[in-house]
Amino acid sequence: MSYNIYNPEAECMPREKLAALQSERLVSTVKRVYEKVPAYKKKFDDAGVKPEDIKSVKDLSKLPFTYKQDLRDNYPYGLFAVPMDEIVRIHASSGTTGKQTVVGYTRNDLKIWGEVMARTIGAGGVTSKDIGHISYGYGLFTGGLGGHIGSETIGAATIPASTGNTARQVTILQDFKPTFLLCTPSYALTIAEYMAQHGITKDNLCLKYGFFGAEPWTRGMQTEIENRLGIECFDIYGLSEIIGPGVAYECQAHNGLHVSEDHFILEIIDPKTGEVLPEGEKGELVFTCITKEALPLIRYRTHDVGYVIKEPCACGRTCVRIGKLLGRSDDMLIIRGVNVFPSQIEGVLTTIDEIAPHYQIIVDRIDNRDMLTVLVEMTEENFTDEVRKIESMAAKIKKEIENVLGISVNVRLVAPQTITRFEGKAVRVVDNRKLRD
Amino acid sequence: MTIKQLSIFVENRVGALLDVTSVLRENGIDMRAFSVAETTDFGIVRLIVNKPAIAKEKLRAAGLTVKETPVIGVLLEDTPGTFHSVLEALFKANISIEYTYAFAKNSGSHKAYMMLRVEDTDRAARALSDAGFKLLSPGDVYEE
Repeated sequence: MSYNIYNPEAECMPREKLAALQSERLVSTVKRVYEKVPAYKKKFDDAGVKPEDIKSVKDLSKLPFTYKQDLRDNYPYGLFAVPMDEIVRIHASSGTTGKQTVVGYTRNDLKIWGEVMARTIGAGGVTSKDIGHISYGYGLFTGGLGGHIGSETIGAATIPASTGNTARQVTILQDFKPTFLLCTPSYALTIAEYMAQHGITKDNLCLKYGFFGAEPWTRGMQTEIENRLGIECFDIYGLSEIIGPGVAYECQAHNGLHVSEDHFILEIIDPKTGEVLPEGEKGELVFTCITKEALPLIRYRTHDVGYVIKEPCACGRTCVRIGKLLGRSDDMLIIRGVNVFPSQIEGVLTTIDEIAPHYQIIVDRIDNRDMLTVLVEMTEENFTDEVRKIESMAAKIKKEIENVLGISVNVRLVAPQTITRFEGKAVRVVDNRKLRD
Repeated sequence: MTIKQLSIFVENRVGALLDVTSVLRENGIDMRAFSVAETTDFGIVRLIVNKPAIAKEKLRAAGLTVKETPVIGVLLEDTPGTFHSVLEALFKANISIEYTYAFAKNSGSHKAYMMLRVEDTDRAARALSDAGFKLLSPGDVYEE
């Protein structure tokens, strides 16, 4: 078969040429962040590395890592490498301690974003003749505008549907006749569910391809989406710190996600030692941005666990692939596309006097929707035999957790000493979603 | 004239009540009255027993969350309108009731007790005595 490739020159570049390009871009990026970002100068100085020590991609591992904490410490704009008058866009994602992770883009960064997202949807077969339906949230989250810019860059007619109001979404899908869809995989199933309830079949739609990401999904969900919407599904990967969606994408060979290596260098490291791992070994994904102007993060720790496939792909692209993502090296949960850390919930509980900070987070996927339930132990002293007092306590906890997480949760108060403890340590998270194939 | 009621938190799951009743059976404790307040997520068992101190200790030892709650017991003639008069007396004293439940004193005696949980137990007891009602005394229930 012939494979659709948006930018063959970049995506199929010979490896030696790619390595030379990466080296050149890395050297200049390192020099630039050292000069322009005081936090990076300090980081490099502390690690005893000078920009001159970095001569090629082989020297990458000499550089210190960048952590999410660095973004928080330099909140909001401290890591930007350009003056604010060159910034044309700000996005942000939910943080663990109330502070958001803020990212910025120059005009050129948006061009790069459009390019890598055009590669992403182009890899599925999208061309300028297509019509795109973007059902990621438009706003601070990078999903909506990331999908949008890629769709416009490729020249497709772009429908900024955003999220919610499934009835209207389905009307648009029928009447505007989009040929490709971008959203979270769970939302794709919500759409399919709505169609089934209203007697609308996949034959009423013109969809051919779907690009899904921003939350973990399984082969089973993929098959279900493909069958119910009559489309070919493609997995996409990205994070706002690097650029947003568009960091890596699946091609028509469906065997791993290609990394846009001329823009982002991927390393797989041992999350405990920080050592770079050989090909095929599972470890944490670490990215270095080598073309971005506003926020060129160096060796950014994603905490996503996966492995790299270097052998050439059937599609002809030379860039490496990320094998299926295998989870996280930290305890972050992704609930309906939103990042949730157990420490956020713990932080809320410790501010409420009436309860013990013993809790358990239970995640279920009910009707393809993630549900987060927090069990909280009451203390013996604060147990009251009045139902309404217990219920109002639970309601108060629910409200405060929702304020911090920004998503709805269930809260259940349980009796003291009832949360399962393993060697004295409470089991904090029970994820019943069965997301591994 | 208050009675110690035991309030026990139980999770909403099959067999939760057995955890309570098995402790009572093993320790030979006699129940005088029993009521459950239930919600979607949990229930609260309210018990009047003949040996509250031992019952509380044994229930706690079994890992249950137990609280002692003071309640008032009012002796009622089993005739229409009696309970209405009780409520009227409390209403006149502006006392609000958290919850209430009933139990028969002895079979065949045509008497019943209403257990009342109110905001201000002492004031409620006084209001009811003043209105001529006989209150249940600890001696009527306990065998400790």
